[in-house]
Amino acid sequence: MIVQPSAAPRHPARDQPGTEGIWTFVFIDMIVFSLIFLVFLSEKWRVPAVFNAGYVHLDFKFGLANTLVLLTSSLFMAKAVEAARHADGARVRARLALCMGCGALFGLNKVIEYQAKIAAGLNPATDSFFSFYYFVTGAHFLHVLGGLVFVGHCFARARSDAGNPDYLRKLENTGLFWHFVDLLWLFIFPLFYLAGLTR
Amino acid sequence: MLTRTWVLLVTLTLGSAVFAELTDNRVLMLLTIFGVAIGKGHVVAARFMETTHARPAWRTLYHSWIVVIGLLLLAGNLLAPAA
Repeated sequence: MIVQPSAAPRHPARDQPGTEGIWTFVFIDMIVFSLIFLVFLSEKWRVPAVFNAGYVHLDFKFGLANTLVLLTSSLFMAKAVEAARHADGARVRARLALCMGCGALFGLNKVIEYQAKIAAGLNPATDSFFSFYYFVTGAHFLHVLGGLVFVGHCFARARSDAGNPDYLRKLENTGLFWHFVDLLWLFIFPLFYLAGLTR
Repeated sequence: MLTRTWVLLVTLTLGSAVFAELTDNRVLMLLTIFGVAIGKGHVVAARFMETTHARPAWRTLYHSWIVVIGLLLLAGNLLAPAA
């Protein structure tokens, strides 16, 4: 009797990356941002004129640049995790350094954007649109800064711990959080910077 | 594979931004930018966050969140009253 080999699994079996804790934490963060987005939309419905006037002051090129920077940082993070699975400490360090460089670039871009807005008299107290703009992008920016701390920690430990399963788990957790920060921005970018381009 | 994923994400980002800048059709623009955001979200979740290797419950929850939040933002903007 000829036994036919079973079809190869669509995704080869591998452990779930990261811990249950980080998957739970990220999902709770998703829910929190969902509520923030809901409140944003309800306010937009309440005072559409204020929001339409607010969009005009945002330059989509800032948002676009930051989207590209975050996507690139995510690539380096994913490649760092890949290198850690091969216990290649030098590559992990190099890729985490590039990831942090992108994170720093995002921060610099955000600070320049905030400075320009504040210099033009557009601060969180200006109107409800700018309250949301600073609150949502500020909360996201804090996530980037928090993520950078963890990426920096993984970078510092990469040389000595790259082959250690605990280190890999830690790096996967950091990666999951970092990619979530990127994922959030994928929705913040069209919501603030693109949706107002035509009215 | 990861680099190809990044190229796809960058291409989609640039494409939707250029389209949003050029079009005068508000409905089509909103459909495009939030549709692309949902698509990119799935790619980031599957390729970078590796939801394909996560427990099915997490995979379902994460990908559902991407769809729900994308559709919510799309509907919220599409149906928003004019000034």
